[in-house]
Amino acid sequence: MSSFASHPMLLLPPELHARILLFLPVDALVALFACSRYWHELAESNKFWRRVYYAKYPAHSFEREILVEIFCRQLEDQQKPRTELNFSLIDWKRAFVKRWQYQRVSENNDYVVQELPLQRNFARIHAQCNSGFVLEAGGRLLALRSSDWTSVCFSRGTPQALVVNERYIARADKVHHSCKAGGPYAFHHHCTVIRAWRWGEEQPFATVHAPGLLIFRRNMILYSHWLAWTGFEGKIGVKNPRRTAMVYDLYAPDEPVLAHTGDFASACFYYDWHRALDDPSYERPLGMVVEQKPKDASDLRMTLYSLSQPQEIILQKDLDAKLFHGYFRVRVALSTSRPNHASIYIWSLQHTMICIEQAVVPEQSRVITGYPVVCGDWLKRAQVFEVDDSYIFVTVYTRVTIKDYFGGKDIVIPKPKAPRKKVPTTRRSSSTYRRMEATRRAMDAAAVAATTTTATTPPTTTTAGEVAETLASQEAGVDANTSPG
Amino acid sequence: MVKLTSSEGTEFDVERSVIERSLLIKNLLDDVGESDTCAYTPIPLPNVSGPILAKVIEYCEHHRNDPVVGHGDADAELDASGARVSDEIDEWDMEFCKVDQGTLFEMILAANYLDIRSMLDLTCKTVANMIKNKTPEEIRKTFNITNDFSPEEEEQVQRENAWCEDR
Repeated sequence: MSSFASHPMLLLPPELHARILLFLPVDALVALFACSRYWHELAESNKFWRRVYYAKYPAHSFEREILVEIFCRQLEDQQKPRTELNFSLIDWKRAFVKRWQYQRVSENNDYVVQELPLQRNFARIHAQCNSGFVLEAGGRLLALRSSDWTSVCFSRGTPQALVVNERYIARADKVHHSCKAGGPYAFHHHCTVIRAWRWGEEQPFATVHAPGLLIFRRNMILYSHWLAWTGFEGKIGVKNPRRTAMVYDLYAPDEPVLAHTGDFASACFYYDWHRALDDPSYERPLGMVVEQKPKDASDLRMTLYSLSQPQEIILQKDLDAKLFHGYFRVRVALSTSRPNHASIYIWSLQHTMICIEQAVVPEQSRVITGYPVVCGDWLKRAQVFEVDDSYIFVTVYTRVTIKDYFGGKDIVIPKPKAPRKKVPTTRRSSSTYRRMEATRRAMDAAAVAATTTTATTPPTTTTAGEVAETLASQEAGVDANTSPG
Repeated sequence: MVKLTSSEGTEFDVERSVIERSLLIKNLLDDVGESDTCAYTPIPLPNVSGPILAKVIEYCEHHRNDPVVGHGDADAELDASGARVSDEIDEWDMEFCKVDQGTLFEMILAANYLDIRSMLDLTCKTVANMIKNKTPEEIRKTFNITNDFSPEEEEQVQRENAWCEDR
């Protein structure tokens, strides 16, 4: 106590100390706590750290999960059984330190990847990345957090984890929705995490996706396509197309492979799965999109691209839109009997063959070693066809809307929340009310005193002040007597 | 006009719209109503000295057109990333807070007593800025804090705080 008299800051009550400390950065906080015993004791207060925690990191919906992790770890350390989360039992200093450490690590990175080996342990940092969206998860449960902690994506190969992941993303405050992550057939050894898209920013959607393709249009994922069950080591990249649907190649995420600006979109890709497994240098052979012609909305244009050289258009042909009725499906097939040739098939949804085109394709696209395996309910629209011995299909895709893709569930993208209005509050805390009451009574007393004294005697504020103090002390006394404990 | 009386008995005449930045006074005047009582009966503020009350009134007059921030807006000063905005102090406010430490702490107490949230934040920020970027020794020197740790305790504290080092 000897330091109290000479320490002017100690004239302030503890709640004002806490208020000052809320404006301090962490290093200054720690420096202050190392000044004297008084400040160090303040640093031991769990209540204080809770305030600091929420001042620095306002609550997000996913924050509870972080706190659960910390809480469970605490119980484990104390060898206590797990119970329901009790926020009053959380070690808030520990929670703050943990959170702050992650933030610090991620300051120079866009993302921090955490490994969540078991639910009972708080995530340890698995990796840091600036722009790597495809992460080698190695069968582990990973969490990707952006540096400002606004997005969180969990991924693992199991359907349960992916469902959880979807929920996580949807629940994060500033992340709106995610595409269902690869269905129940996602890979156990790959995890693809794409940065969250936020309203008002040109960021892509948040999604977790098995290796494949994403087709975006006007902030919606038209569909995400599971390309292969293994073998992909590249990156996937998506950007926020405002008016243009874009298809990005897994291997070349920087530039969109295909793009269209019309209302019609149908894309088909050929990929030699088996060769991709054996030959890392294998390049993507073909991709095709049918798009609306830019200048003439009544017609469509079919374009076959070489995926290995995205700028190269192998074939382009105008189509009569009247035949399509808005929906169609396309496929690309490479010929085993006719080298360098591919066939493009376009069907209407009534299974009417609309056209068949032949195209000469690059040399490296010719080898076909097997059939793709396409399975699972979520790809039920995809089909494997064998027309004859000379043609092998990969898949046939219809135009899949979000509604279709999610099996009939309509996905509603929430509107951005309006900023909360700052309404001046007139709520009075109990202390404010007491002070106000005391002052008002003092005023009344002063007024009475003024009327009862002689007219020449000015109202003495000393009397009013004394009355106010007396009343305030009485109030405080009453409070002290009535307060529990 | 409203009359305020400081702890020494000094009276101050203030426009009602100005002093209503104080939630304490505002609520009081709202309760009293539009009667003439408040015009003639000074409001005693026994916890605020004259010079400090003058500073408070100066602050209120300068910020008379600012929106009032109440206690309900706990998150009002949080930026997009959730960090508390602590460094942004208006130039006038900075000059306003260039006072000795004793006065500054009295201003904090007065702002707290009178329930002027923005002034309380301003003064607390000013104190926080005096603490920032200082070592414990410098903080002790600034605020005249006596180091009452034993050497062992000090070492222990350093160990406890190692989590924020190597920044």
